[in-house]
Amino acid sequence: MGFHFKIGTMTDVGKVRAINEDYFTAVRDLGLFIVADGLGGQNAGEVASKMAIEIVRSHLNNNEGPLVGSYQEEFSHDTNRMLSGIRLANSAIYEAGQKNPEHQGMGTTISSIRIKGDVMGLAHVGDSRIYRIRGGRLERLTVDHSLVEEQLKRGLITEEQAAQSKHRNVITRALGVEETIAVDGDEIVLFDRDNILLCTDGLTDMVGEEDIERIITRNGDDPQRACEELVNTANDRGGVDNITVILVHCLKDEGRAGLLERAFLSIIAGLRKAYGRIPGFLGGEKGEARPNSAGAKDEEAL
Amino acid sequence: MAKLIVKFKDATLQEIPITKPTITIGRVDKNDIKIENLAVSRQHAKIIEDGDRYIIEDLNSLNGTFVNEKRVMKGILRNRDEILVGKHTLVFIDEEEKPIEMRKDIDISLAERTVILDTKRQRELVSQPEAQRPTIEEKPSELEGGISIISGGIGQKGIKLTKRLTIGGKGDGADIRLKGFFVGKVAFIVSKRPNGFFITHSGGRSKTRVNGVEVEGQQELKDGDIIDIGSTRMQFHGKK
Repeated sequence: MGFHFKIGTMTDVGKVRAINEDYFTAVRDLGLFIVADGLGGQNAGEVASKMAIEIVRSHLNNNEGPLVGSYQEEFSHDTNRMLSGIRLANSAIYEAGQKNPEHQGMGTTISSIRIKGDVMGLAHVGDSRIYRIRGGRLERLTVDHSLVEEQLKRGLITEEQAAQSKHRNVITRALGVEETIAVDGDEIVLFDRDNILLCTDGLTDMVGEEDIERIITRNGDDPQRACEELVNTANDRGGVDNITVILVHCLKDEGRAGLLERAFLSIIAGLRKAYGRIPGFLGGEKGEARPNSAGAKDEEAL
Repeated sequence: MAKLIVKFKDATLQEIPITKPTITIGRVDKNDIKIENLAVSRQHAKIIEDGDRYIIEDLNSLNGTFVNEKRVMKGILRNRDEILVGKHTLVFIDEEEKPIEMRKDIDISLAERTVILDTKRQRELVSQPEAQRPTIEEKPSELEGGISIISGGIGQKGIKLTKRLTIGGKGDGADIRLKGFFVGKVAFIVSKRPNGFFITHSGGRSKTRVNGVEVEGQQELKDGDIIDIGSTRMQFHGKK
């Protein structure tokens, strides 16, 4: 069993920048959702974010090819493949930057999820974030690779200082900057009606987490409307950077097997009700006699 | 050259120059520094050369490794640090040690654009003030857990929970293979998080029960918990 999705997406240049260097993809069939925030002079950032996403997507489409980097036993094959795709994108962007003078120094953040069955794999580099909203409560699933986060972790600054810091836009890891990259990965179990938000810092620098939580919760099962409201709110508050959001509303499948079982059991229940007075029939009154199928026996044994 | 002075109480027992990139410390013969004392684990700790500094790492020893009376999992050694292993003290001497760079005032002009720091610059900006001991890892000691199969199943005895997610079910991809008509391909999932192990029922009509109670949502597993699904009975073992 797994999930089907209601998906909302939106990207916007914001109110200050001339071009949008963010990029995203949502591939329903693969359960794959990625945002990337490109950086670097001229249009290089745009090139980097697009390259990153295209490479990861095609790497995941081809499930057979070799993996880049070391296999992490703690993760599933699918998550390893996603981490591998990001490492591959890093090398490709790095090389392109080296070869091409106008692309030198380009880089990109990336935040990627892949949902398969009940499991969501996560991978990220930089300060684009992934949140889960479950039962109206927002929880951040990623730790930014940013200077402020690093200083916080080491106790050099306080939460208040972090919020005031003029270095909030300084990131410590990005794709394409160095030859190799450390990619953070994780895997979690999804529940029915979980909302997963992927976003670039154009959202989180403008809109606080309480507001994000409220907007998503308020728009309940309409992720597209939630995305529009998130982007509009960021723009209303200044829109200093490009804003990109993907919101995935996860709905648990009943599954065909589930439906069949349910039908079967409801027939049994109906028969029980109708003929329950006849002793010995389908567990009526005496309760010992059981239908003669192995499956039903199992069910009773639970 | 850096060296270690092995002491027991006030007596100096040995002086050992560090001539290898990795020095292991423990109770048994194969260690570079052998300390025969029951308070010392077989493989207790190791010292690794890392560029122009040395790093001490505890190897999950029972009684722990202490540097200047603070327990460490991993940390940078400074000249004259006292490493306590069991009841023995190893004094780390490195006369050539370079002083740690003071944290520079951060000076990146406030560009409205995102800036990427190169690795060297990063190290400068986040390096610790002199007074603080530089620990390089805050990683808590790794959680350990496992599930043993008491009855049912398909012949597996048990499994260590080393993966972030461990899957129990009838499917080929399951880590714990189960039987039963109503047991799902993915019946339950155990998540390993920094704060513990959590079980979730995933699919199939056979419900996952912990100590006889149906699992709803995500539930923390405690050492000794009995997990039942279909005809399979399992037990969780874990420690933090």
